[in-house]
Amino acid sequence: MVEDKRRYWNPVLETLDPEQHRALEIKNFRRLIRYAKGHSLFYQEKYKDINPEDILDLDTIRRLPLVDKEDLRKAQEGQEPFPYGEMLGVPLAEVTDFRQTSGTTGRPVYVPESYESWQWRVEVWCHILWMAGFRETDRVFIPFGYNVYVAFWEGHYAAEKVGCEVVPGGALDTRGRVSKIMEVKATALMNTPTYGLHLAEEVGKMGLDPKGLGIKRMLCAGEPLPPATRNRLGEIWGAEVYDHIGGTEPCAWAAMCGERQGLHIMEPFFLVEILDMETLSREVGPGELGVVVVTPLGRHSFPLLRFNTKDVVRRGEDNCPCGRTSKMISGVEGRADDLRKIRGVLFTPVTVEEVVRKEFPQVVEFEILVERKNLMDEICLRVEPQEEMGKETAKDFCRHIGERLKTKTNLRFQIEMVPPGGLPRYTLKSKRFKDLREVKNHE
Amino acid sequence: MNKSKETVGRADLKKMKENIDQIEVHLAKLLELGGGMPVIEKNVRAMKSFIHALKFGVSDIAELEE
Repeated sequence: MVEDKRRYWNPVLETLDPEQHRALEIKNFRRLIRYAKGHSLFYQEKYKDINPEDILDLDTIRRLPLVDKEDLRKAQEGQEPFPYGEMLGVPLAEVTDFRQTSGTTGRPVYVPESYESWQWRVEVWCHILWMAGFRETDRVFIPFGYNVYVAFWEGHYAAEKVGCEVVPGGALDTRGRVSKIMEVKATALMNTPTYGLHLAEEVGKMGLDPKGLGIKRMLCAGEPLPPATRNRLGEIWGAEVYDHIGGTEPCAWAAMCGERQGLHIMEPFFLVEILDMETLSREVGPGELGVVVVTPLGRHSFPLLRFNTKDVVRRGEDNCPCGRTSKMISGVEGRADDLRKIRGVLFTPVTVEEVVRKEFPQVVEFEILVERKNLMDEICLRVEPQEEMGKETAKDFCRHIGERLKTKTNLRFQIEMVPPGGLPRYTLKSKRFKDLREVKNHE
Repeated sequence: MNKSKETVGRADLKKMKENIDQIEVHLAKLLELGGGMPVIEKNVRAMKSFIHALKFGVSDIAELEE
């Protein structure tokens, strides 16, 4: 019985019947609308004609308006109370934490957390860490200066609550972090996938094997983690590598369990809708791609109802062997913003990463450039190998990788070899995909 | 009924909810007694935040099963 109680963070919640998850989500959605209308200027206006008591089921929820990042920006810029504007859901005096988005798609969004909302977020993360096997015996090293970005703050506070020992790794360079991992005998890491690879590269330069550092588990955050990259990280580090999905605005809404066959939606903390990409009105079925719309149901400081994350995921099959009954997604395809038409073909950069990481271990870093030349779209993969290649080897390599990319993406790539050390290294999110057609369009 | 529900039965959930509700009442009383002292105000705030998380994960489910 002790074993069973320790398997799940919350054994009752995590194994509820799916209908009970739905019932809770609908009830909490109603509760959140009531709260948001009473406390947030944005929702007072946006939902002025909506009576929360009319929210009876998912169909009625689906008729409510979506909110996207641009709505959040408009609700904040130049609006009182500074700096959160009309999105604020608690008195300004109750805000205890300032967070912001990374600003990769435009002006950052400022996200306030009250003490209560923050603890709610941390509670979700406790589930995530527990699912990934983090326990009181773990010494967790977080190789980042957290700054205003939320992910590693959440991981830090949740790891503490779970009972782990947390070693913050900011204010060190990568080599310093490697040394610290060894010095304290860390057993777990939290990092972006990109940085996990970069850290391993640095370990190699120090003449060591990452497997020898004793890391048993790694939780990744901040950017998509294609299966090939996850496997590569697992092989390099000799560790179990876990994915989760979230954001500053919508919080962490899905995560991997020990089975690592897809990600569980963190029900009933969130109402997560995975909607068809054409109309955003129909819930997709298993195996289908859809856009994710998230409502964090217990967060009051920044109420978010039907937030269009623009993440594109594949709906998974439920009934995970772990016993958790939440809905599943089988993988993240990327951001809807990153889905592009190139020569009429729908393309996502995640496909390239999957090919490179799975089939070409000699590639250390890569970059994808899309340009328009002579009225035609051209796509180029710039690759940096571990070691300089001979002329014939490079020629064969370019031909082989080009063929694999053509098979997987239906696009003919130019392949450009870059000398070792020639491509940038990223410590946070990578910026490997550059659509230069848009830059030119805006000039 | 699945295996986990066998280990934490309906009766337990109901009692847990009652306990959580009582803690909330006690916190309100403590806040009142504190008369604005920061040590009471801020620590009660922290405890109420944990109650918010517990209500989400325990009390709400207990209500569903009633």
